Order: sequence, then C-alpha cells, then structure tokens
Amino acid sequence: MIQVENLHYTYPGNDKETIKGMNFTVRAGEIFGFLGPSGAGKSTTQKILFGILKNYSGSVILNKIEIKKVTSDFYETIGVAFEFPNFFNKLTALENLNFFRSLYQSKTLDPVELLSAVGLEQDKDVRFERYSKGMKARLNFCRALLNDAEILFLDEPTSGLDPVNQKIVKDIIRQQKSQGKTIFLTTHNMHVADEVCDHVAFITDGQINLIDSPQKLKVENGERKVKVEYYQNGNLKNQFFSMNNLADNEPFREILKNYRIETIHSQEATLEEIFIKTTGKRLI
Amino acid sequence: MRLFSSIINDIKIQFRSGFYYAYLFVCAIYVTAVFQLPDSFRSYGVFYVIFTDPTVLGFYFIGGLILLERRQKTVTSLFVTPLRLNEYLASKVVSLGLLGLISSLLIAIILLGGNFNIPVFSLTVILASAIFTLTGVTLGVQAQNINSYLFISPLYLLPIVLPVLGFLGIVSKNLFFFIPTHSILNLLNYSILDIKRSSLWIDFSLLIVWTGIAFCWAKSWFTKFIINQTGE
Amino acid sequence: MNKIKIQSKSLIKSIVRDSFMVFILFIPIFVAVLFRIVMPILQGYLSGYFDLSEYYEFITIFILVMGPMMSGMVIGFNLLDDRDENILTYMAITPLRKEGYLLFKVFAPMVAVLIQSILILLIFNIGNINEYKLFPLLFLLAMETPLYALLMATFASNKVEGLAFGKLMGISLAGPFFSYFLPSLWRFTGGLFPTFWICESYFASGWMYLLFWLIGFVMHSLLLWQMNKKFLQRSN
Ligand SMILES: Nc1ncnc2c1ncn2[C@@H]1O[C@H](COP(=O)(O)OP(=O)(O)O)[C@@H](O)[C@H]1O
Ligand SMILES: [Mg+2]
Repeated sequence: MIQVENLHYTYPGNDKETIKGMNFTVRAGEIFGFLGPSGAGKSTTQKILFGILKNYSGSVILNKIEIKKVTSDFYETIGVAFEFPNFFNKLTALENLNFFRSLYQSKTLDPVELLSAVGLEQDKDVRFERYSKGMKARLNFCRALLNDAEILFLDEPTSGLDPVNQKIVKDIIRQQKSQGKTIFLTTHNMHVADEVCDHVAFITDGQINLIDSPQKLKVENGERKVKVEYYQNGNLKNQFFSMNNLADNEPFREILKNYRIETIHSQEATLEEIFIKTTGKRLI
Repeated sequence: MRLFSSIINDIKIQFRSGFYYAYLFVCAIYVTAVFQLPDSFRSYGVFYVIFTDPTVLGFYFIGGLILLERRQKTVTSLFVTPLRLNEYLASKVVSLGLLGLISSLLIAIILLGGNFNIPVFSLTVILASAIFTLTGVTLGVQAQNINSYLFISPLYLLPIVLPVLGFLGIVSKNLFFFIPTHSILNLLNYSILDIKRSSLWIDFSLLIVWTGIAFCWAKSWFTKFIINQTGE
Repeated sequence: MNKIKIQSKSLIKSIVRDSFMVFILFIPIFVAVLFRIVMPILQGYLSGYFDLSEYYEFITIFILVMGPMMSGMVIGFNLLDDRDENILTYMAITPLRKEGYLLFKVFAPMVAVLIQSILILLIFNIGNINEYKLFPLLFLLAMETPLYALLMATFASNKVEGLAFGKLMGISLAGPFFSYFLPSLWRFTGGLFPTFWICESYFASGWMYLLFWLIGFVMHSLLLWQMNKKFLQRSN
C-alpha cells in the first residue's frame, strides 16, 4: 500500500536533515506504527506521506502513485488527523465536521454518529474555541474518519486523552482495521503501539532502527519464564519457572495446588525496554 | 459544491467575527456624514466613500483571515481534503466581495435613492473588490503579523493609487489607463456621477483581465509561500 | 525545557513586534509633513468654494487624534498575538509579572505618543494654533493609546475580530467632527467619544476650557481603569 525508499527530508531554511534515509513498507489492511520520542521525525514523515511536505528526496509510493504527483482527488481516499487539532474556532464541532464533509464527493459518514462514537454528541453544538484539549483531540480523530477513507493517517491519536477515551479511540482504530482499512499512526506511547499495531517501527533522530511486530519483539526479547507470586505461611514469596512443559512441571503444580496465588506473569519484555535496548534512547 | 460550501463557511465565519456588524455601523456613519454635505456634493461624497472603503475592504480583511488561518493551521487541514486552491481563493473573493457589495449598495441607495446606474455600479464594486482581495492574498502569505501587513500595505498599494493623480488633474488622465484603478474610477464616475462614457466595455474588459491576472498572481504566491513550503 | 525554549522564541518575536511600534510613531508625523505641503496647494484649488485656512486648527486636532488611534491599534494587535502565543500567562510567572508587563507594553508608549504629538505641533505649525491651550490636552490624548489597545485586546478574541473591531474604533475619530461641525446642543451626543472632549475643550474659552478638560480627564481615566480591569480579568 505504501512503499518508502531512501527517504530524506530537510525543512526549508534548515541546514540539517530531519529525515535521514528511511525505508519501509506498509501492507494493505495493517496498522503500522511509528514509535519514537518527540522530535524524532514521526510527524514529519507522516506529513510527507500524505503530500503536505514536498521537496523530499527518495520515493514515496502510495497506491502505486508517487506522492509528489497526486492531485486533489487523491485526498478523497485518505483520512488525516494532525497532531494538533486545527478547526475553525468560530464554528461548532458539528458545523466544522459538516463543512469538511461537504468537501468530499465520495461517500461520507454521518458526523453526528462519529461524534457519538467518541462521546461528543452532547457537545456537538459547542463552538470549537470552547472545547477542552481532550475534546479537541477527539474531534480531530472524527475528522479523519469522515470520508470513510481506505488509508488513515493518525498522528498521536491518543495524546491528551484520559484512559477511558484512549480506550475508545484504540477500539475504533481496531474496528477500522477490521473493515479493511490501512492505518498509519505515530505515537510516543508504547502501550498504544503494543496494543493496536501489527508492525511497529522504532524511530530516533530521523531514522528507523527496527521494524517488527510488537508480539514477536516482546517474545524474542523476553525470557520464556513465568513468575509466580504466592503466600506461604503469610509471607509473600515468588518463584520463576520455564514456560516449556509448564503443565508437567511438578514444583509449579505444587505451588498452584497448595498456596494462595497472588499473581502469575509471563516475563516477556515491554516494548519500552526493547526500545531502550535497541536505540539507546528513552521514549519521552 | 465544494466552492459553494466554502463560500457559505467563509461568510459564516466572517459574520461571527463581527464583519457585518462592523460594516453596518460604518455604513451608518458614512451615510450620516455624507448627509451633512450640501446636496450638490452628495454624489461626490458617495463616490469618495465607495472608492475608499467598500471596494478595498477585501484587502483590509484578507490579510487577517490568511494570517489567522495559517496560525490556526486550518489552511493545512483544508489541503488534505479534495478542496482546490482555486476554490479556496474564489471563496475568499466571493465572500468578501459580497460584504463589499452589500455595504456599497446600502450606502448608495440610502444616499442617492435609485439615482445611479445600479448594474454598472455593482459589477464595478464586485470586480474591484476581487482585485483588491487577491492582491491582499499575495501580501498575506508573506506577512509575519497584522501590524506589518497593515503598514506595508500602503507601499504595496502605491502603484494602484497612481491613477488618482490623473483624476485630480495632477498628471494626464490617461497616463495610467492600464492600472485597474483607472477603470474603477471611470466606471464609478459613470455610474454615480453620470459622467458619460461611450466605451464601458473597455473598462470592464480591463478589470476582468486584471482580475484574472490577480488571481494567477495570488495562486502562484500562495503556492510558493505556503504550499511549497510546509503547508502552513 | 522545550517549553521554555518555545516561550523565549515567542518572546523574541514579541519584542520584534514591539520595536515595530517605533516605526508606527513616525507615521502621523509623516502625515503632518504631507499636510503641511499639500494644504497650501489644496487651498489654491478650493479658493473659489471656501477658505481652508479657517479649518487649520481643526485639521491639526484631527491629525493629533489619529496618532494614539494608530499606536493603540498596533499595541492592541500585539496583545492579541501575545495572547495567541500565551506570552501573558508566561509573563505572570516571571519577576516582571503580568501587571509589570502591561505597564511596560501598554502604558509606557504614552510617553512616546506625547513626544509624537509635540513634534507634530512643531512641524504642523500653520495657522494660529494656541499651543498653550493645546498642550494640556496632549496628556488626555496620550491616555488614548492604552485605551484603544486595551479595548481591542479585550473585545476582540483574535486578529480577524481585531480588524473588524478596529473598523468600529475608527468611528471614535468622529468625536472632533461632532464637536466642531454640529450645531449647538446636538453636538454633545459626540460626548460619548473621548476624542470629542479634546476638540471641545480646545475651542472653548475661560472656565469652559477647564471644565471640558476636566470632563475629558475623568472620562479618559475612568475608561482606562475599567478597561485595564476587564483586560486582566479576561486574560486570567
Ligand atoms: N515546520 C518546521 N520547520 C523546521 N523544523 C521543523 C518543523 N517542524 C518540525 N521541525 C523539526 O523537525 C524535527 C522533527 O519534528 P517532528 O517530526 O514533529 O517530530 P515528532 O513528530 O517525532 O515529535 C524536530 O527537531 C523539529 O524541531
Ligand atoms: Mg509529532
């Protein structure tokens, strides 16, 4: 769906490159995530992918077309949510969505339903300037879905949201995928990358350090062990067991049978640990 | 459809930003002021007011509109939709032109009754307003803030006011015939002051050509300073 | 860290905007020079109709009241930009404080405007202008700069509204016209505009001069005090 080869980009007026040679492929129907600290170049790459930043070098092919050459009609087929919500202050949320909706000739979704999906139906007639940060972020997310596009670009879709709304947004992203959409998202939150992405790319300093599936990464980098915490004579104890043939592991079964279990955890690595191990940088 | 809804949207935003209230008030003041003039000066008063305010209001407002849209990044969000730059610009021209036309007609009708050539007058205001709005776009895409926009604009508009010298009799009247203001003045002369002219179509053709030129100019500078930069 | 960097960048931008003010201060002076040259020419043109020189005093006053309007609007637009960039909230946590910043930004230019009006008087000294009468009025005039700035920054929420509001504020230039051209008591309807009292006072004599100056002073002070309060409220 999206093929990027040898992508370099320098902002006009800057003398240093912001994107320093990227190669990656996003397959149709998957959720592809850019994970990296802020300032790494995630938003910049995304803006190149949907054609806002021109004058890049290398090639970016989207649906078999070089992105430099697309016309306005291309935008019928993609949905974009920028990192910072940008709407008309003087219009209400619904008026804003209705206006953006009217710019598409292709099929569009009902703005009121979209607003309800993210819990904004009560505030649909409130002017954008009166919206809180979290409300703005959710409205921003709605706009990307408006034209029921086959490719979605979401820049930090969960940032600025409370846990409940983060979950709502993540659920909608998964649901979009189940409808066959291709989704490209950026985040500096490893949980988001972990929970929704099929493939995640680690980005630091304008470069890709690694691309893989979160599941595989966690397994490969973790130890195949479980940690059991249990009470023995009122004392909290813990013990590690290999995951191989766990069902036949006698000491493990003894504990399960005889003591009150507090927790059982498999010891795969978290994405954040892997990120730090691979890139030497923290996710902030 | 896209063009139509952009126009409606622009008018809505302009209305809610107080443009229409401000102009209602401004028109009232102009009307009151011109009423104070002796009767024989009244149409000159209307002429002066129309020429200096409603026809150029597009220039005055478009700078702020573009600066604000750039700052709030709504420009960027519009250009990831199928909206064309042509439509974006045309929408600004039409919405501000409407405000100019309504104000001009209000002033002229109250002060002169039906005693002026309404079709010629209206068409002149519409074309003049389009030229000024589009010229404003070319400055708005470069300006850093409103203050620099407002205070660079007199220099920017200097060539456009040259024909006024001709009409004041300071230089030969036809010296600057190719500058749009020459045609605007001619047509307002004709429609308000009833100064006979045999060749309206020359003035109108010149204005239409100038509108086209201004449109291309606005489009290419918008592309150069915004779209080909970072889209902001 | 990043936030502070962005803030200081905005602050530099804001200072650049402020230095633009100096440039603006010269515009009315330039206009005065222009009038000084054009006026006699115009007089020649109009000689058949009426005697322009009768109006020299009025024209002087009109050029004078334009000064604070311009600088006030410039400062007003600066304040609107500052609000966009959160400079004011940022200032609230610095040693300068919000009030100090306002003092520096909005009230200090009064001195500059005062100097500007004196220069205009010196340059535009045609006709029989009574400098002794006009000088005390220049203090009222200077108070209009912060007044216009605060009006704009309080009633407009962004630069586009600022432009529309600026159009309305321009109407306040009508004050001197009310005072000078309207007959008898009718003209006091113009008393709603602070600028009215400046003109009214100048053309009055004796005790009336003093009375109108006083009314003007009270009006300017009250408005300024109210607007300052409103602005600080709004930016909280
Ligand atoms: N409009 C711009 N002009 C110049 N430099 C920019 C611009 N936008 C971002 N940058 C720089 O590019 C780098 C990457 O930014 P960005 O892509 O926004 O990072 P991320 O989205 O990963 O946080 C940063 O160092 C930032 O300062
Ligand atoms: Mg980003």
